[in-house]
Amino acid sequence: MNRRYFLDKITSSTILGLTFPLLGFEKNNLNSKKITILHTNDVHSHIDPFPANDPLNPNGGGVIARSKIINEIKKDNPNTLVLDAGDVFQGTPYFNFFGGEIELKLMSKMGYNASTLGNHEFDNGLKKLSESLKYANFSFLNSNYNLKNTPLENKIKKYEIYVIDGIRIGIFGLGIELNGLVEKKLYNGVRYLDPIEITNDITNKLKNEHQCDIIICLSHLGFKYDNKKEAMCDLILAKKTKNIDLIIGGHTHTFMTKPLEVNNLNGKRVIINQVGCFGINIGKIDFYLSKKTISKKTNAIKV
Amino acid sequence: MFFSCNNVNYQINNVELENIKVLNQSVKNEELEILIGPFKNKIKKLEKKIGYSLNSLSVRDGKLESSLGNFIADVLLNESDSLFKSISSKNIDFCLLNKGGIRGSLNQGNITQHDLITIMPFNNTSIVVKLSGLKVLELLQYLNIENIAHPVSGIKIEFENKKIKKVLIQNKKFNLNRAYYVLTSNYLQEGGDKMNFFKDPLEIYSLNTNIREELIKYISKIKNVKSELDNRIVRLK
Repeated sequence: MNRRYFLDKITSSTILGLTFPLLGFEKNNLNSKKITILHTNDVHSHIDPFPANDPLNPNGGGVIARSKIINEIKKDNPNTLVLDAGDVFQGTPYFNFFGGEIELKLMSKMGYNASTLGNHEFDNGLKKLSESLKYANFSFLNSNYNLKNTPLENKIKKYEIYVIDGIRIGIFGLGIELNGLVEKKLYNGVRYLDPIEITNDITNKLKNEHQCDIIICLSHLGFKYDNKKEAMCDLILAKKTKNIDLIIGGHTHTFMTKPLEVNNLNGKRVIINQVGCFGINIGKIDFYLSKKTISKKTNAIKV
Repeated sequence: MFFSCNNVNYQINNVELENIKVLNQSVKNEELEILIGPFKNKIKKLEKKIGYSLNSLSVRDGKLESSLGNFIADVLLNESDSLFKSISSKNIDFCLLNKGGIRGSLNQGNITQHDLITIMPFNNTSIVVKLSGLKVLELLQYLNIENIAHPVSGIKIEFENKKIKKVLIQNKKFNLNRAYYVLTSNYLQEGGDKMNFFKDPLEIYSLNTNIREELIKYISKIKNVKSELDNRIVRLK
């Protein structure tokens, strides 16, 4: 955790990602569509809020308060996706006693659309993880673990495409190298593949084959590692790949006051965001999109 | 068909971002409460008081050490030493755990089993390894590079300008030519957190005691606990 304190509500009015500077473009223009992405990471089985006397996060988090925020935002914009960047499991007795059942049931009820596999998802081994997935009515996405001949084979999707109000949103997941992080016997047979190669492959597919308008990576690689500069992380991923619009990060429990913008291999902007841990914060990202057609007449007719 | 031909017809013009703090405002949500209820009731028994913390202990209140890390490593070293002696007739020299193994803080006030499970959710067990002086040097270099507050006990380290300046083990100068008995967890011994110096030790003794249970036993026995920073690992410049 990098920050002890977090402002009550950090509103960033910074306008990012102006790849096409359209003159006179208004965000509530009738031709404009708004997609809201809500996200959490590293919730670690924190279902109840922190107590009022907690020195770091008094009254912070809790599924009931989180659910209220999600519902209010969805009411405001039904075109909302709720995502998580992994480490749903491990951290309170709820996991020790019930092995993830309650976490996944609650996320299903709260309307999560997708999550990815964090290293702690493996804490009870592959078989138990595989069995617990039946409690989730949303997908766990990962594209850089080869799961062939493991209990997770065919249970984890590489990516998923969500079509909301005509907007195609491609989401894929990346996991951290488990070697040295998780006991071998708990992930036996899972092979870690290079995130950069996989990303370029998948995003190319999402962009060109599936014609996605927004591409999101759910990453449990970690934001960055100051002591191990060469270690794979979101910052390296963003710079060395193409086509990602947004990386929703996890693992390093990084409390970002404001999402970061980075230029990708093509010089286009990638947004990286991570919201600490334990469900203390929710990230909210609104994408405003418009039709790519340049002819103004077409738009006028539609109005 | 017509629409699918026109799939890529949106571009992102503008992005707005906001990180929202989630705060408990005692709102009701019957649907979720009904779902949580039975699970919550089953873990209620863990709320029984086992001890009292005289101060708030955190894992991130120091630079290269922490009050909670010091507490856990000290208790584990003290409580494991007699067991180890009964197996091997030797003493443990020092203890090294990992910061990532401690997942929460201990607030001032009553301590419950629930707190201990939250702080140490993993079912890790204690293990003692005999390491050559060279492997201990590797361990020291690891701590120097990692530069985070991994909990230790029985050892004092001074780093200066990215170098290891001074090392005391059981108050004696570190000797590269002798071997040391080091207490750690099975997770780290197996290479967790890339602590590779623990792999292939000269000797290995599995104490088979669950680290969290050792702490629960100790707190239940001692009742009032207190721990502070004591500069056991410092970086001078």
